[in-house]
Amino acid sequence: MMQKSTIRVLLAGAAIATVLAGCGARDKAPAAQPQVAPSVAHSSGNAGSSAEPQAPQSKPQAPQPKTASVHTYFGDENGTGLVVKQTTITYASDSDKYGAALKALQHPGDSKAVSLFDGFTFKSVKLESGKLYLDLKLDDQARTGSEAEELTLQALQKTLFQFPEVAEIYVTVDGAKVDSLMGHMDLPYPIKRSQ
Amino acid sequence: MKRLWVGAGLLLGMLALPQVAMAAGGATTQLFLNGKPLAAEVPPRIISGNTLVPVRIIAENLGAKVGWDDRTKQVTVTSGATKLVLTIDKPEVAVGDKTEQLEVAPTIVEGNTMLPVRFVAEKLGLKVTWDELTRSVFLYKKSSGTAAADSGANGGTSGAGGSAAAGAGAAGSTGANAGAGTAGGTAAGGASAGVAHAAEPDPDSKPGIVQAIDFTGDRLTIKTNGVTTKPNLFHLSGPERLVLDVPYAVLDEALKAKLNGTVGEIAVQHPLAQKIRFSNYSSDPPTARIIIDLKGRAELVPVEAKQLQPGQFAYDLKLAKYLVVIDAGHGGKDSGAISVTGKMEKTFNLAMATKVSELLRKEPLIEVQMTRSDDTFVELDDRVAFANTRNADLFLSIHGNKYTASSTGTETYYYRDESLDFAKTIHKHLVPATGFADRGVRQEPFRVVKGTTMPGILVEVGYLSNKNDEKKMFDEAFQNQVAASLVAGIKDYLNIQ
Repeated sequence: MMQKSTIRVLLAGAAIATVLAGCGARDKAPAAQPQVAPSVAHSSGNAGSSAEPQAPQSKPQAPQPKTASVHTYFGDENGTGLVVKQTTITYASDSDKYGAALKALQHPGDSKAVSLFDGFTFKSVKLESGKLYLDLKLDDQARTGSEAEELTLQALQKTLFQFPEVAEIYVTVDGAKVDSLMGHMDLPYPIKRSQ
Repeated sequence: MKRLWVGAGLLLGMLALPQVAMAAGGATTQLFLNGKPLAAEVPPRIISGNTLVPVRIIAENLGAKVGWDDRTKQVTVTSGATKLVLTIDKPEVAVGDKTEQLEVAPTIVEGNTMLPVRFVAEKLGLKVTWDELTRSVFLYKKSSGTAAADSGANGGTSGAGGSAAAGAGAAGSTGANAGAGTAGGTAAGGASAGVAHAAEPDPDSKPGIVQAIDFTGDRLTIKTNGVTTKPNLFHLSGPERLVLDVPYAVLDEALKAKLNGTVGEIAVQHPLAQKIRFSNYSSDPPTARIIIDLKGRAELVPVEAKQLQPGQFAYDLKLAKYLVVIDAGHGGKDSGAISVTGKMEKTFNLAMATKVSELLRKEPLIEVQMTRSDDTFVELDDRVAFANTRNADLFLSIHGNKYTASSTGTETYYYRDESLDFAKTIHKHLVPATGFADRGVRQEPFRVVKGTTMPGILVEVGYLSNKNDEKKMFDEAFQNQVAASLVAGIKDYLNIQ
């Protein structure tokens, strides 16, 4: 219990530091920390704003953006494994958290990590009682080789299943179920945690 | 309409048949229609006490029309006025306009739609019995002529029961001594092509007579008195042999005189055959059996009836070809990866697959089929089913890779352990031919190598995202060289000189 809250504090601190560092945070993710136990640490938007008061918005009732530190997954240089990083995501409401985490997968931040989601558009990301509905659009550049498709599916699952409330992922492409994302791997519908 | 009604006596006889009883040694479930084994691309499965069989068996042997809706995952079985709509993984079945519940839902196994045979067969008016001892399902088709009268007159054939029991005993000894050695034998796909139209003759009529068995050159000729229908041909392995059962027929006196005990032998001089054996395999129903003991892979190709005398059946013994399925990845709406200069992976894959297939067609021992031979989209499961239903010997999927601009090299993927040797052999030939970096033989659960039931691999020839790799991959001479290496790898694996 003690240990857990310590890590929580540390991560919250990291989140504040990233917010302080400014908007470059999205592209310059901290180095991989796979040994960090909790996959998600929340810090309310207040922590950030107390450290760095922002200019009041024109709409005073607009909710403060929230931040969370999450694990993000990229291809390694060789294309045979994943690289995990700790990234702070910013989102308006809880329902936007998953989309924000997915978008972070498109910004590896350094040349040793390769985005597996170039050419992907996350058209719709919705969580309904444990079921995460994800509608994708893939442009021509999104289609990779067989091994990279496997890594892409792994990265997608690891990213979304780090949120304990996500039990299943229902992936569609342009609104339709597909047998395979890129023509090598199965695309189960839904993807379950065990898979 | 041929007469297909089989009496209760025959049923008893069948249960006691030795080849059936011995099959109990092997765990697989056997399926019989009017006493003839039905060959399936995947063996029947028993789930919670229900036997599920591939839909193709129902379509081809039970005379029903089968439709498939990929979107709804529904199978429609139609025969006469009977219409069944079954849904994969759902126990509800629409029977006409009523709904009934199945104990076990239809499912997909290795790309084959599996339906509960008892439910479907009974709805189609067949009689279904299960024999626990031999783990066999027996289907009996009644002729349309007797079906109408049958409902109240089932007892009509019971008189045959007593004599059948005696007959069964005789059949037991005959079969056992015949040394057909059917334990664990599996009927090979396609071998039982004649099953559906093999009719059961009237029990009162006299059996046909096998007058002579001749093997000259490559040709086996069976001379009969013209009463019997086409023999049932099937393949058994361990040791390899081809079996011809002449239905409702007995050996004539001259052949019977050559039996040593219950089996006669014909010596042959042939590169593929060791010897030929024959026996009165079963007495109820009377069945004469002819077995060719093989030296290696061989098949019997039926000779057209118009080339033969009436009552003759002939087959040419030929080296069995290996069936190699070549799979060009992607296609149609799925372009695959887009190369560094904007070319499509599907184009590269098809060019390579076509070149490989053209080279393989020159090989006398290899038959080749392509999952696609033009720019069409084929679902991954359909590629798998394509190879599995044809009982292919090898499956090779050809792809072009994509990752970063600096990625380069050749990879060969397999998934099931039985595919590893094939992967290694192909990779050994492929890497020097591409001249790219050797990125190894790897195991990944790609659909086509996971779902196929024969040694199956996927090659990633090189990286379309790499300028150097890509330039070569769209070069004609490079493609020819790589195609030749894949063919060399296939021949190496199959031990073909």
